[in-house]
Amino acid sequence: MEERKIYTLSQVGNAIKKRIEEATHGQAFWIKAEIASIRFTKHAYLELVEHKGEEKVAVMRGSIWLTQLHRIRHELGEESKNILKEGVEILFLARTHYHIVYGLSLAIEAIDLNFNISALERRKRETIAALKEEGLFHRNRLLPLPLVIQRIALISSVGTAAYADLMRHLEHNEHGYKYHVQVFHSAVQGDAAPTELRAAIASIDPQRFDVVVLIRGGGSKLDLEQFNDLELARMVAMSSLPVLTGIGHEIDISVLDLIANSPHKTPTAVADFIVDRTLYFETAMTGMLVNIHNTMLTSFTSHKEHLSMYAEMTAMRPAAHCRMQRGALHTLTNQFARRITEELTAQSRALHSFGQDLALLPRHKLAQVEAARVRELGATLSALAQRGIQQVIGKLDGIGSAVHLLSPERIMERGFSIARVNGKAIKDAENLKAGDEIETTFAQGKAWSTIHKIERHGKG
Amino acid sequence: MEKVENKLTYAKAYAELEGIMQDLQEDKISVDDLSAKVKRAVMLITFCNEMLRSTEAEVGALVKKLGL
Repeated sequence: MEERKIYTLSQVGNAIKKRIEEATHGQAFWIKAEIASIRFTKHAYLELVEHKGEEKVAVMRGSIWLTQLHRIRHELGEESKNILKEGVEILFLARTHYHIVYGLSLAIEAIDLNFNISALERRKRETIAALKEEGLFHRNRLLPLPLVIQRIALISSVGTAAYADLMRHLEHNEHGYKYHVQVFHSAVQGDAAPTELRAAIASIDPQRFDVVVLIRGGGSKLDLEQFNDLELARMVAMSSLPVLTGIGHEIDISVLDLIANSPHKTPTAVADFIVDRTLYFETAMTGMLVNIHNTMLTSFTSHKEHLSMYAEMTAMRPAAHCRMQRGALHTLTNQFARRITEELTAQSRALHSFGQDLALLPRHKLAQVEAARVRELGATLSALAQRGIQQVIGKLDGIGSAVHLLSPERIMERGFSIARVNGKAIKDAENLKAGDEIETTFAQGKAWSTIHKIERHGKG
Repeated sequence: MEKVENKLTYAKAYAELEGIMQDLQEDKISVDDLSAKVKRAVMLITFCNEMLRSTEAEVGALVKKLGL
């Protein structure tokens, strides 16, 4: 029987170590793996796994030595707590390290943050795509926002600065508006957040509120992960109340912001938005009342103007009518007087020429018969003339009495008066000027006065 | 009347005011109704003002807690 060669454990270990070192040449590799567990002492010890579905297909230990751990934490900044934790898949640079006591492990020297951020973006895009496919993406945004938001269901972590900011801005608004806020407490960071947020939304009775407000203070990019949760996003989208978000962040937008009815950058901005909306409503209402008041005043003024116009017309019309009638009568009287004068003149001329004719006849040729005829003719003519004159006198009498009825004296007896300037009756105010002396003739007596105000009508 | 007022909301008040405004501008309101309409407008805005600032709901909630 051949003699067996027996190795010590350290010989094997050293051989393996040598083989590994030969194979890797001490080179570092980029490796992708999920952190199954992590433990911090001075250094960090990790258990790294690779899953294929539910099944573990590879497990290896990893470690980050103190110096590297400091540098990596510095590089990751505020995201380090989101990266160096269980369940996170990371992309890291590591060298294989075989220790004959502790065995094989991966010594991690660097972690690529972009790998996690792009993973976050990818999950965010997946959530958005899923919401769009389910027809939920625009749903909450299309809900009408009440004119005044007063009853608020607030989802927040009580005691945080975000909560205090929002409440201060709502309660101490400069306009004295009163808001009724009921708080639904929930963690807004950490792994418990999605579950608690979902529970908070589910417990809100939509009948009792105008809106849901969801706020969180500042946080890192990977902290937003909670607000990209598909199940949470579905609930927000399906909410029958408009959802307002104030998830403090500067550049990054979470899925919740995209689907919310009204997204705001900070909790304070949400509060200010609500107060401003109330102020806008009140201002619009007050403006409308002022408008109504003004319209009413305008309407009153127009009614008053109409009334005074009617009053003026009522006062002016009869007087104008009288003036016109008087003018017409005056013309008529003149025409008659002229015609009568003409007629009388014609008659007397005829008589005169007849007398002359008679005088010219030779006296000796005057036969008695002719003389008698002449006398007869004369008598007839005289009678005719007499009758004509009588008729004219009769007409004149008629006109006289009519004229008398309409004489200024009679008209004045009815309360009218005649105003004269420089002895001439005034028919309009056209040529008058202040300071002119007016002589007013009444039925009984006269008075003199001075003009101090003139108003002209009828001539624009 | 009281019942109707209880159901008044900001949106309803605003819509009613707009209606009065329009009627006024189109001269649909007679002088007889004018003062009643303006009175109503003042009532609406007073109502909203009070609602915007009232603590009624808070007091109600407190009383409820006392179990009265």
